[in-house]
Amino acid sequence: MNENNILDNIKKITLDFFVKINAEIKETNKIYTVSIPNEFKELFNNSNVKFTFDSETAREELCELIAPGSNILFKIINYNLKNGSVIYTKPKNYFKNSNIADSIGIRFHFFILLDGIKNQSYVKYIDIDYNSYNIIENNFELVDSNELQIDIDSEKIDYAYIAAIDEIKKNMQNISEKFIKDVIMAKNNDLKYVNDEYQKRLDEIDDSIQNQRNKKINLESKFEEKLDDAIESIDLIREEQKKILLGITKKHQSSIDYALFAAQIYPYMSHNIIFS
Amino acid sequence: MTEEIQIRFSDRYDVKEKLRKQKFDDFSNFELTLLSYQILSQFNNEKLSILSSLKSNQNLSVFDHQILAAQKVKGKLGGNALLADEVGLGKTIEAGIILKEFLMTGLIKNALILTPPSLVNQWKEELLNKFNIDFISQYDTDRFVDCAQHELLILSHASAIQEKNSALLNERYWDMIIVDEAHSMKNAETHKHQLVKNLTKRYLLLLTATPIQNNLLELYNMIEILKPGLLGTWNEFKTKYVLDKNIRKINPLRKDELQQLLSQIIIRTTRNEVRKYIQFTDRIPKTKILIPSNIEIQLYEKITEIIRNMFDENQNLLPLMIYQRLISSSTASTLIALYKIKQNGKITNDEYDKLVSLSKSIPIDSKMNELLKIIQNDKDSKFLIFTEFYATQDYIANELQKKGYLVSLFNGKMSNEEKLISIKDFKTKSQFLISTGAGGEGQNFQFCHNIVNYDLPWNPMRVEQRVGRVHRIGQKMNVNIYNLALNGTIEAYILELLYMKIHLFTMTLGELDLLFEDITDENEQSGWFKEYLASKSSDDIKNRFSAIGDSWKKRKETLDNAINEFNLEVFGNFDLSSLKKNE
Repeated sequence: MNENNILDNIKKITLDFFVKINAEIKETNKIYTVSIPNEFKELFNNSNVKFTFDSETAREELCELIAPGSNILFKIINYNLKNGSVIYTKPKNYFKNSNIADSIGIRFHFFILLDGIKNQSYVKYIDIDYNSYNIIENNFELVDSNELQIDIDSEKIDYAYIAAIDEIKKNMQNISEKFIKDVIMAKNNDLKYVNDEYQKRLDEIDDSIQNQRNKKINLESKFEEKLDDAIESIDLIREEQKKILLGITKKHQSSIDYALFAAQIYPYMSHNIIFS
Repeated sequence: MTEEIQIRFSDRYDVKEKLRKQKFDDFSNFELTLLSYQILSQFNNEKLSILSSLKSNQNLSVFDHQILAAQKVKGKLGGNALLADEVGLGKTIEAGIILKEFLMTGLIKNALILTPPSLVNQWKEELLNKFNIDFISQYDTDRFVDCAQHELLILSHASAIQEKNSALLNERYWDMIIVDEAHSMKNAETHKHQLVKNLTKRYLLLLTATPIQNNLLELYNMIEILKPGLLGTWNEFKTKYVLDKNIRKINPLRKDELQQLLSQIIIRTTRNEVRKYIQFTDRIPKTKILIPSNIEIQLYEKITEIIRNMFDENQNLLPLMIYQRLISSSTASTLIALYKIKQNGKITNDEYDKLVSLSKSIPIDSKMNELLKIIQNDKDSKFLIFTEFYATQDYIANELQKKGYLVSLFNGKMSNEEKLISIKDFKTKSQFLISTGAGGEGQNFQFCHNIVNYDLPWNPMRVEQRVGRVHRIGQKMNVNIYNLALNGTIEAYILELLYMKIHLFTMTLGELDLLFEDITDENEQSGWFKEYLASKSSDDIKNRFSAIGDSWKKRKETLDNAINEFNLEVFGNFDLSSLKKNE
């Protein structure tokens, strides 16, 4: 998505959302005033909202610019993220009277989040044939449909999902390997800094004890006292090091999540389809 | 797969189950879900995604160095940095941008801000007004539960190290911690330093304009919190990079090597670097110690005598301080003080009636007269007038409206919407905004360049908070600060013998924090109030206040030399600016 696409999508999601929840929307001079229905009031801090998509207008008027960083957009997105969605669709060019579909496809939508100190995320889908579990390579444009009714077999859904997961992992292999490599490198770097420093601090204490020994301190008791102090320091340093290493380990804890967030079922004709 | 990376195949919203049970949605819901994930996936990269939203924000002026600093922290520095811009360049804004970006893009879900006590409310207000981020602070008595409960929490440094709080903070994993005025973490032996170092966190921002005060060990200690081990052991660091025994000078032969290390962790932009787009203006204090009318001084002295008697009876000091501040503010607030004293049973009804009628016989306050003169001399300018009390706010508003002036009000009793309307009116129509001490934190009024302190906050930090509303980045004119006080009142002594001695009205928050870092509001104010009440004559008061003022002045001079010059000298060796050309 380029920047214009993002802004178009942001406008679309905002307006579609308010239409969807039956909010009353008025537009005057690029400013949208939205009366929020009662059941959604809490989401918007119990008030109606006023916004614009035009940055000049936002600078002049008391209304929020809907753009990345907007709180209204943040709430709309978060609300919709929690709405795992499954629908019937059909390929755009599918003409139901001329042919009867001989196959069913499932499009699994994934949000792949590589979550570490630096995040990356991707939205991808994989099409799987419902019967053979093969990957469907054709990139159908799917549109709304309620024409298809099939009996779903639970087991087949699981197999199709596993096939989709295998494919998405392959698809993401290079990116995930690089991510893992970067995480490990950054973590090892941080650990090395700490281990080196603390080892040197311990060495410095060792050197200091050695020096004391070399000076042949006459009073044995005084030397013992210094030795006790040194041992105590060593314990404290080790304890501190342990804490810091644990902190670094937690800081670098990372994950890759292939999150399934939606699926589309659609009919198609397999005879002109290439399976991989 | 490695132990460092968890691989998950989540199906949090039961998509498979919905498929199995044929729970089908409609197409528009599907589209909204798909679009949400597509938009979200665009946010997670190394660039700042909230730029256009920041630039259109009317409550915020953002500058290149702030955007570049935030960009660098998100990208190259991986969310860990010492933001050490020189004073007045908006480090808080930089931190706010980073915080907002990280929250909006899902990089963080929780954050902890640690700040000096006097800045807790300011941080909270700024984040709410400028970034629409609602933090809970320890002072939100109706919302604050404990340190384990809140996702977005602001605490003072002092509260954070209290045993109960530090235990709760330590139990959590913090996505981001921001430490303001982080020079207070300079000493590795202190609880503050230990706490921040040991808290489990992913991202850490330390903010200070003066990372070093006495020697380079302090800089080393702060970097040890951010990136332990980066500079080696202290002995190593000293041997390699420090030139002198006093550990205040950088070894010039190793300068480039150290530059490379520091640039991995520090961003420090200087005022000189931003002069091309920021015009720095001056603060011009105009203190008016006015001769009160006979009735005014009579009224003030009579009530002060009553307060003094209450002090001698060992009454709780706090209400006495409030009475004294009320009678110093205006005749309207004096009536409130009198009413409270009567309720306290400290004056008879007769005495009360007499004092009330004395107060009502004052046709107009001398301060008000002076204010009208000031306005007359600058007829076309806007004025932001501060008072600590609602009664005084109403009094000034009435007097100005009687003269036909357009006035807006701003105070803590107003709703957010009312406040926004008030600010807009002040910007577009009204010549005056009269704000109580509670209002105005976090608001920008750079379009105005006159401040009137109709009465005086007894907390020096609050003085700066008032001035800071107007004198900040984006102000294009020198700012006049009119301070009004009646001769012989406690305010006049505070102004002349304390605040002016240290040039308080031109000091920055950072400087004030250093000067008063060991002094809590209560003990400082109650200290000089006790001196005032214990004094036998005006000469006695002058002597006592002069002694306090002299000790402040001495400390300030030491700090100016030790801190500002030292920082300038050390950091003059490095280029750590967010505007650095090759980045």
